Amino acid sequence: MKFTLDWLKDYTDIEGLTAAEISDQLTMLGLEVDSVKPLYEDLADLKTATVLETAPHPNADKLTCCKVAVGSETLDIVCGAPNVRAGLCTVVALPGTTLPGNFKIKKSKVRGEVSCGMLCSERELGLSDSHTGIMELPEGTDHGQSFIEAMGLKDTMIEVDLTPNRPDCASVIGIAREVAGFTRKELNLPVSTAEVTKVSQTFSVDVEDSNLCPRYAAKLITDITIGESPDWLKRRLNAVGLRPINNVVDITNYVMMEYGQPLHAFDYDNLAGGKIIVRCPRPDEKTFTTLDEVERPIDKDTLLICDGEKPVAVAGVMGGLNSEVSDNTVNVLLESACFNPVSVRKTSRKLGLSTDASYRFERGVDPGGTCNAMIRAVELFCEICGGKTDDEGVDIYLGRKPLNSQTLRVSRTADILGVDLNKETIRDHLESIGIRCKDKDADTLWVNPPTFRVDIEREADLVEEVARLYGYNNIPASLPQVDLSYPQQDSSRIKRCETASFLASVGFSEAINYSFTAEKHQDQLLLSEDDPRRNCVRLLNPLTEEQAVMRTFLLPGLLENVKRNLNFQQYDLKLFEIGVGFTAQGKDKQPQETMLLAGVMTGNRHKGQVTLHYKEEKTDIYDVKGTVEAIFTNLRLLGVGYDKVEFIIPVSENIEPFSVSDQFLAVMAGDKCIGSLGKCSDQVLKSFGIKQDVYYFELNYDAICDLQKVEKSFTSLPVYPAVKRDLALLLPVNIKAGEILEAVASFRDKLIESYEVFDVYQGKPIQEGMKSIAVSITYRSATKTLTDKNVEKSHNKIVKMLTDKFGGSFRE
Amino acid sequence: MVGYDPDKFSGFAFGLGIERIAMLKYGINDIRLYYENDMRFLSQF
Repeated sequence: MKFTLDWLKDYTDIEGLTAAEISDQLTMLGLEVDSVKPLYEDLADLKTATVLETAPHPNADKLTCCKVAVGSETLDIVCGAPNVRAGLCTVVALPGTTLPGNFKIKKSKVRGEVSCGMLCSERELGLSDSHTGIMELPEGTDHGQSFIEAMGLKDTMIEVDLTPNRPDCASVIGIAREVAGFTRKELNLPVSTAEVTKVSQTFSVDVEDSNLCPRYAAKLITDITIGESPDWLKRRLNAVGLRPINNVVDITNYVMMEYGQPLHAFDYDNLAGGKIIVRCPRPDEKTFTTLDEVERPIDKDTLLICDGEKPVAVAGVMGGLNSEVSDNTVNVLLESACFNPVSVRKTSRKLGLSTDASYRFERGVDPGGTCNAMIRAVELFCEICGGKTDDEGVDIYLGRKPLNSQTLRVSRTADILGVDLNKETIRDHLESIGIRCKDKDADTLWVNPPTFRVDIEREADLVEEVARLYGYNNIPASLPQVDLSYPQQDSSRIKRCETASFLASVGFSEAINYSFTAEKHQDQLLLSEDDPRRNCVRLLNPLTEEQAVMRTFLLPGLLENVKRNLNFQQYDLKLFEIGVGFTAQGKDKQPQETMLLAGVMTGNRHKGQVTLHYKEEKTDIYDVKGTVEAIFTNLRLLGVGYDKVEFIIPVSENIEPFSVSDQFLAVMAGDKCIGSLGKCSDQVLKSFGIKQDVYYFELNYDAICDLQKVEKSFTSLPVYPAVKRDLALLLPVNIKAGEILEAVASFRDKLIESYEVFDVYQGKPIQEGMKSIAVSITYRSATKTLTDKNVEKSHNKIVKMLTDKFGGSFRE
Repeated sequence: MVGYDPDKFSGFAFGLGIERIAMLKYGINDIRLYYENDMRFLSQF
């Protein structure tokens, strides 16, 4: 909302206040000042001048050589304007002056004649669009003065960033009211008690739905002469960023800025039947052409202003081409109305049309001020456009609301604000901005917020008014008294932090992705039609397709992150994310929210590796399996002697569709699957545009938190030494090393302390179809030192068991 | 509006975006960086 101090002065006395002081006060009252701009400062060097004589330029038809008086000097200036003549008072830019637009004036020769300056048009000075001739100052203006002083062009423009709850301040009078509040000076309004008491005999108004149009007032002004607005009016409009068009339109804009009441002027002779009907479109009315000459679609909810036959305006938004005021207009019907904010907003959105008028209607125009603004505009029409108004006018106020009556408790106000306030102080503050109060009892006031304060609905709103008028800076600061007690710890959150720290310390970086994602990820990850992860929550008004549904799992987001990093030449990545996946559960239930932990690994095993040491080791399936094992170990769910989780190769229908099938493991807690890890399939990587191998893991973190961790407990140190023996078996290639280990485990020899596979070998000299698996077994007794004979016995039994069970042969 | 009696409960409501506070503390110049998960950003922290 822009206004100027010169304009503000019309309504309240600001003598002695600087622009800075006013800005500060307004900001502290909640009307934040965005900018303060002195106007016309760039015109400080311009001077007034009087043209003494003119003579046609010897070498150019359209130019005139002038002798121009500027104070004590008489200068030769060449001028191209058609209106230059002896005796004309105008404005001159002398050599050394810079005009707006960085245009430097120099002494020069124009077609052979000396020119010591330039006579200027309004457009060249940035005052308006007028460029048909040089600016004409009032007759008798002394030459040689400062132009801006002579014209009284000293002004400051202030722009306020209004909060949506204060539509009453979208007007200069609204701002003046706030200023008068803190200066405690009078508020002077040009028109404040206008009414339409009789009914027009010339035209009629019919409002079909008082919900959509609570109030509609109109008046007929005849014998209008369309022309340019007077300078003061054009200047004020320009100063606040509005373009002057003609006197009628300019007055409607001016009064809108003044009172915050949008007005519209119709050419009365283009209104059929002398009537106005405020209604919604008929079924056959599908489009309407607004005054910007664009044909727009309308629907059954678009509120229209119509005449006896057809629509003539989109209510609250924009007038129609068929009824707009033109140079030939003689009779104007002026509309001042109050429209339903929701309806105007919907229409404005649907048409993609946002205007100064719709801005105000959407936020709430004062239904009590309709006639004041209208009569103010009518007065200006008569004064400036020569209009006459014998017509009575019409005012249809069907949507009048009962008087807004609130109570305000003094004690409650003092409590909430933490300031000792008495009833008189409170009353004094409220009344300073027009909010009437009356005593109810010792502790309470009856308060009647005026109709322009659409934002005051209950006691809390009034307390806020008192707070900001008293001054937030004046409220003493104090720390609240709180009882300190140790809050209950959120154990899941603590676990998440531990896991995140752990992963960071083993070289991962934490990614955070939006919960909103693209539906196409489901296809990209090759999910089957009945996969529960296709059950996503859909947004009603997504901003883009990329954020149209809520994610059901984390992997797609991480794959997008991989792609992005590859684009920026970051090839060695270890990313993890802990976040929520949302699964829809039908229209009537909230979605299921599951905490998930996922990660991706790609590129070199060691980041930025030096080939001297690591020789191009790429991440592989064992890196990701090792990471997941380490996560569980860190959470004390996996360890020596206890396994709350295990890794299995599931049957093929339980292998994730986005994983390579022979590099995939499911993570099980008992018989519940709580996650998986694997190598992403080429097809999936291709659809993401990723050109290197990616390994992933994704786990149900809620399920992990449900698992009981194994408490630390002590095992006594072994007393007696161990004996280590190896064995190697030649087996068919399809036998898995894990099967060998399971067989050893189930053999249950008390002497076996531990065992591991330490080599798997295929190729020469071993025959095709066979491989060698080497196992190392550690034997130890709790009661004595083992002899070779003890160990031999057990070891041979194991070898026999294994060769019997798996075929193949013992390999020394 | 949501069932709390205003006579019994009063308080403050404010939004403190931790992203913006971190931007001030570390001199981060673009809030979108937090959600792009670019390694060149993540590795700085």
